[in-house]
Amino acid sequence: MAVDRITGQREIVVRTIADNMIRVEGVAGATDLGDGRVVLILNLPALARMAKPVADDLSTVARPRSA
Amino acid sequence: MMTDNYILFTLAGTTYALRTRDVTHIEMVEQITSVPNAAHFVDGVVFSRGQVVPALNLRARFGFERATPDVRTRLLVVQSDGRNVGLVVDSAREFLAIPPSSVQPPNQALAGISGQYIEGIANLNDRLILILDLSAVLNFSQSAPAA
Repeated sequence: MAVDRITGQREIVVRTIADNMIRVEGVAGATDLGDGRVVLILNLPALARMAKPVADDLSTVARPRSA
Repeated sequence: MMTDNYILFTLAGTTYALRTRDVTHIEMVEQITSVPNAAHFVDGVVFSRGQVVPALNLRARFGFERATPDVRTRLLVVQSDGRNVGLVVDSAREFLAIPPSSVQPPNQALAGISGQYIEGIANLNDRLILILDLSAVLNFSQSAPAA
């Protein structure tokens, strides 16, 4: 899984996302960082499932400029 | 008849009202974490009083252009049918008691997307206030778009 940057590692309390408006595939829950910010918790198996049907579109995904 | 208490807020230059009992609290808008594939009018999620709640951008919900958040931007956290949802509005800083006799049902002339979210129009001292139909605002049939 390609990400922009890894910012750290920590133990968190998983909070469920109760409202349908923000319940989306690939997101398992959320947590708060203690400073008011919310961080989404990804559901990797779901993301992997989602990635399959659009594999053909990978060419359109923005590639990072050469490092 | 009983006079209802309302919280007034503004959106794109118009004054709207919500019943005080529907509003849990009002916050400054700080960090909103965006949610991938959420509906276009959902700015994201916020952490409010121990809960993760959606931040619904009322301008986007009404088909207006989004505004850049500033010091007056507020999050109205509302409760409806057991749900807690934050509404992002331009400003909110007034309470008002509105007698039911001053409220008229919305007429056909109230065109546009926002018209369907209006429960009534209050006319108080030549001041026009649109009373929001909260369940209509929060009810949306389409689920999150498929990935």
